[in-house]
Amino acid sequence: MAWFKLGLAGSDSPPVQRENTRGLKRRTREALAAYALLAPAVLGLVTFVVFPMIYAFWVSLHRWNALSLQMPWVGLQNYVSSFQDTDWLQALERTFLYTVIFVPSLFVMSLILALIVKSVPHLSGVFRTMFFLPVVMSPAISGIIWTLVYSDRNGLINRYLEKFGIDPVHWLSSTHVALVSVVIVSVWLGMGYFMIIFLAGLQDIPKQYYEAAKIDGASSWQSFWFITLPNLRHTNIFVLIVSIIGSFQVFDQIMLMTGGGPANSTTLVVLYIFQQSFEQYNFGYAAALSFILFMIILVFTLLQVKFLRIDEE
Amino acid sequence: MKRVKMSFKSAAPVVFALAMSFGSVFPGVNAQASSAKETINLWMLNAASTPAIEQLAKEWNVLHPNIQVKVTAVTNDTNTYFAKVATAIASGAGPDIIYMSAADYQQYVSSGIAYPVDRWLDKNKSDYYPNVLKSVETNGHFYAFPKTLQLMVLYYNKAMFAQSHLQPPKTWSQMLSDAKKLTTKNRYGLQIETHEGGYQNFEWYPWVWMQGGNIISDNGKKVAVNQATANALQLERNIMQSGVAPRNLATGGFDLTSFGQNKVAMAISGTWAIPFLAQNYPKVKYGIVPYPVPKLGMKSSSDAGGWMWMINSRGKDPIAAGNVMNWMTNENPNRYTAWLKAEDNWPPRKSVVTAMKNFYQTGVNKVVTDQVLPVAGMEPEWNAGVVKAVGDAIQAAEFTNEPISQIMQKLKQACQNALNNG
Repeated sequence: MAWFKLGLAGSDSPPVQRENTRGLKRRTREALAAYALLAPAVLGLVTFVVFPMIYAFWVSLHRWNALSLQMPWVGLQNYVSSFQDTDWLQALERTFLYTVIFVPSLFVMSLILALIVKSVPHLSGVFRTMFFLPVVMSPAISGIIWTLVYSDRNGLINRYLEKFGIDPVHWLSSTHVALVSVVIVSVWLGMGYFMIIFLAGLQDIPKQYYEAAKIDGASSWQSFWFITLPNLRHTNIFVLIVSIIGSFQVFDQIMLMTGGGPANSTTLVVLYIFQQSFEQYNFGYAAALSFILFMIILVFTLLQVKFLRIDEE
Repeated sequence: MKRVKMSFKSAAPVVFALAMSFGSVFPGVNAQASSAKETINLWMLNAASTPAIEQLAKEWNVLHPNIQVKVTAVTNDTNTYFAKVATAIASGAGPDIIYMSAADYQQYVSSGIAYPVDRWLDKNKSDYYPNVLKSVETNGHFYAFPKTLQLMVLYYNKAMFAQSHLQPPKTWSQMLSDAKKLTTKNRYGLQIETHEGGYQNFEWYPWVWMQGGNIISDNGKKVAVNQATANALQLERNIMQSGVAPRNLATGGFDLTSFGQNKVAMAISGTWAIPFLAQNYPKVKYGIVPYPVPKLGMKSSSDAGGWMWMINSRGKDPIAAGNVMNWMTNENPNRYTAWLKAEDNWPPRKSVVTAMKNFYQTGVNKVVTDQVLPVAGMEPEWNAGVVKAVGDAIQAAEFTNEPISQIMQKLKQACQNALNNG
């Protein structure tokens, strides 16, 4: 930090003289120091994010299997092919279905957890830790735990269902149920994180609003509906958009629990891209699909920015 | 001058950090600087045979101090393994010796990765089984050191069969009725693979082959699915829908843990499970029979899989890597012994079968040698598109109610597309 000290302090010269001579040097030194400090991060970003993105776009314009040294140019053919690829379109359709189930479930569960934590202040530390635990858990461990919980014969859930005389459910091996089973795990994994976001939003609502409502005879439900929810709109928009984006990127739990099965019923877009690249060796096509996914996510990101800006105005 | 000096001084930590970061990007530079020895990187799956390969590498390293073999057991998951190999090759950091599966062989050969190994194999060609040699031959050249053979069979629990007064099944219908009789609240009658992928296909092909059918013609150019394929898909559906088999396996059909724990009465799996059961469940009395056939009098079938060794033509020294594999697998057949026993693999060479006669003619191994090996077909080397098409068809048969005729139509179309796309 010595170069900062040299420029900022230690001179007894009059201010004007400093501005004309050493001031200029100081600015240059500061700029150089800033560039030097930023360089590793920028270099890392360019090397590991910007360059791979540009390269991936370049790859998406070629037919390439990652092993061959030859990359025939195909232009936009990979993008055009995606519109005729029924498996890809089905994966997209399934992902939208996943989003439709996942996002509202996550929203409601996270909000409920936040309200529970807020309503029991003396136990909030315990609840917060409990609800946040899945967020810090490795997806691999979560996947294994839930595979055991969902097991047909010895799984926890089916054991309980059996006690009530209900037939076992094929949680991960039925084409009708598997996607819902994955959603449950995804909600379990994500709700702790969004609970914290909601909790921050809840704590920003002035207490006076609730006190005034209480004096006016409002019920708990009315307070929630007319005070809590409207005052959380900023948080709501953030949670909804971020969870929608997250739902398009889901991969770990599916890879670990179902591998996309049974009969492709849980093959969502990212897994499909993975299969196209690392199992089918269609790296050019997979890169094109990645950019299509990027465009979808970009649309939601822009929507978030727009809504938040409107909200601020 | 003072300012220049200060700039260098202040930039030094940054430059150092950058140098440290990029050190790992150029591993070859570091390796050469630290040692004059040549290192041959051998990548393989983490398998039961890994210690035997590591032992061979140790022996090689003692004899050849200037060429050291480094064995890396990358992972125990096939998909992850090939994802890592492909990524490493694409970035120019691929291994010198690649543990290769039949499903990926053609992709690596057609991409120019495989280094021809004729110069080594030609010397002992006559000692290998012809179909084994054929599986590593493309356009008149050998592109891999042949695999050891892992054969698919049906395991059955002798105590459970005796208790239910049953004989091991010989036909499809017997297998299904036995499975039904042996299924209880805490036990399944039969275990088959449920996860889509190359292994599920590998397990399923013999049901097609034993009827004289196939998926792709022998010359690899035409789609050959027919009624035999439809029957094999129907069998898969019957097993799954009759409730005699678990619908979701924790690991996979290759794993006989449930069979060892008496939670399954019969299981389709490979010969690698023989040493696994001996080691982990020595008290379980079991038998092995060939795959049951559709009707009595028909000839059974099996799938002979395994892993071959490919030399990376873009490796730092393909000749040295080839010399290593030649020493391990080709030059002296006795070097196979520990490795073969570790996974109960069958050798691809006649001389080894003779030399290890006692091992292959004892207990369940005798059934495999006498009844399974003679009817086994080599694991197909069709492209990834065909593998996916077959996998989708099996999954649809097992887990949906889609008519088999419709599944067959899709299978034909998908296979044709896969052949067209190369």
